[in-house]
Amino acid sequence: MHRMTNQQVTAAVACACAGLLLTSRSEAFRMIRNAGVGRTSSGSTVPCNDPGGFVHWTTSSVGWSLNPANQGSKAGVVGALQNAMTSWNQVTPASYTVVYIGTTSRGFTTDGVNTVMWSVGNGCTGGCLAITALVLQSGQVITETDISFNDAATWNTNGSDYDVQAIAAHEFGHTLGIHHTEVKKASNRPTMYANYIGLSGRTLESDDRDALNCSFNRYRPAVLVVAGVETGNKTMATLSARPNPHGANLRFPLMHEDHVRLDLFNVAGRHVATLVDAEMGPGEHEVAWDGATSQGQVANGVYFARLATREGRTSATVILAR
Amino acid sequence: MRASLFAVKLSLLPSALALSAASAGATTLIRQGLDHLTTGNETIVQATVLDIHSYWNADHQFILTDVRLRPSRILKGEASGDMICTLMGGSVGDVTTLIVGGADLAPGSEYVLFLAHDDLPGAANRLTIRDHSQGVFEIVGSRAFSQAIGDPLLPDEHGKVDVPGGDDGLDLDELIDQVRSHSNR
Repeated sequence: MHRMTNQQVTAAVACACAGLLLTSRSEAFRMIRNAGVGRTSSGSTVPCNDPGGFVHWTTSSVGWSLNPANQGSKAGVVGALQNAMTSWNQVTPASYTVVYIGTTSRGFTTDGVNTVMWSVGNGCTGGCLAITALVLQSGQVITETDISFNDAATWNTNGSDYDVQAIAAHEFGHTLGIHHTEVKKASNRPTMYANYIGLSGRTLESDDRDALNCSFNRYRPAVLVVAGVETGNKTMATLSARPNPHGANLRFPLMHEDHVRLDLFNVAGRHVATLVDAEMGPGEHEVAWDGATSQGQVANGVYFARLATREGRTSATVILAR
Repeated sequence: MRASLFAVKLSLLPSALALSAASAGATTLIRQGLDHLTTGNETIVQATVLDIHSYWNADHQFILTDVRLRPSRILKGEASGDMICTLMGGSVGDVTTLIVGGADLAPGSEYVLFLAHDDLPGAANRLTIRDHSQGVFEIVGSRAFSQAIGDPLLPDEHGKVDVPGGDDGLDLDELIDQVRSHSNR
């Protein structure tokens, strides 16, 4: 199987730059649009003002977990991922907060947890270095994303190819709905072009920032919740959700007796059901939801579950796929 | 150089350009030449997509899509009758899993596809398009356009970053000849 050495790539990039089209224009950035039902889904490229819209979050906070298997356990990986997140968090006036939550055993699955992992598989082998999957609801609303790095490649955190931070910054851009830019200049290329090898690829350019601000201005997040993560702290229970053939199971542990309220919201933030509102004892609890509400059955899709106890709140994304 | 070729294509093949511009990959990929695409895949066909069917995998943890193909030419490997390849992603109900950079196939369209068996989430050893957008050449008239046109591919060992055929695509017969040539080596 074809595999380039890091030295070959570095040399080849230098060669390739001279041949690229030297153009630069405003708003060259492009967004990802769900091409829709009826064809396989890879996402088309559209400008910010496309009448059909593009994929976007409805929340301003997006939490990420790292599966530390394989090269995910390398020293410096967490810091590299956090730096890549920070580069997007610093874009203003957009106010997205992409945060590192902690480690997880989850994989490249639709499970409500945004996961970064290193694996040989997940559709990313051979010449693929990293792959990003977006889970969408209602056409263009992002409810979860996962990134899988090809563990067969050699990954570094010191700027040498392949640099985790540089490529993570590029892939996180995709998870925020940004496609590849049409800017093709020889230097200071946007992160959302191909200049994501080595140290220079770590830095966002104005075209990258404009793209995120475009999304923010068009789809300004109305609800501030942490989506797609298992959240919690030392005293707060964690909440996880997993689809089952009849609906979804929501699981949470309680360290001691507590009052528990478990609510479900749709992606627009509207309350759809209260599954639990009671005192519960310590231990592991699991609540099944088949989509039933006081108004009848809801459609299959993505919902947000919020668990509230006296110690605080936590949330998780629920996939209803019966 | 590239700007002038692009202008030629604009004038001669506007419909082809519109098709290729509508879908583009975004996963980080190293450029694959026809030699690597041919040797790295076990089955290569010219085929029309009959229909697609998306579904949750057995674990209800990932959406997959089966694509039913009717080959008109087998360029490498063996195939008899209609065949199924499986891609990651798709839409079930109101939920879509979108693989950024995945192959983008539509029923009724004709492609040259580079296929190989691989493990997909919850589905082992499926015939799939392992090279994503680079493994798809959309046929428009007598030409074939790589679906990775416009993607910022990482350079291959020769320093090349453009997809085979570039913006102008390849003459279909030329593509077929090259595939068969690489396949016989």
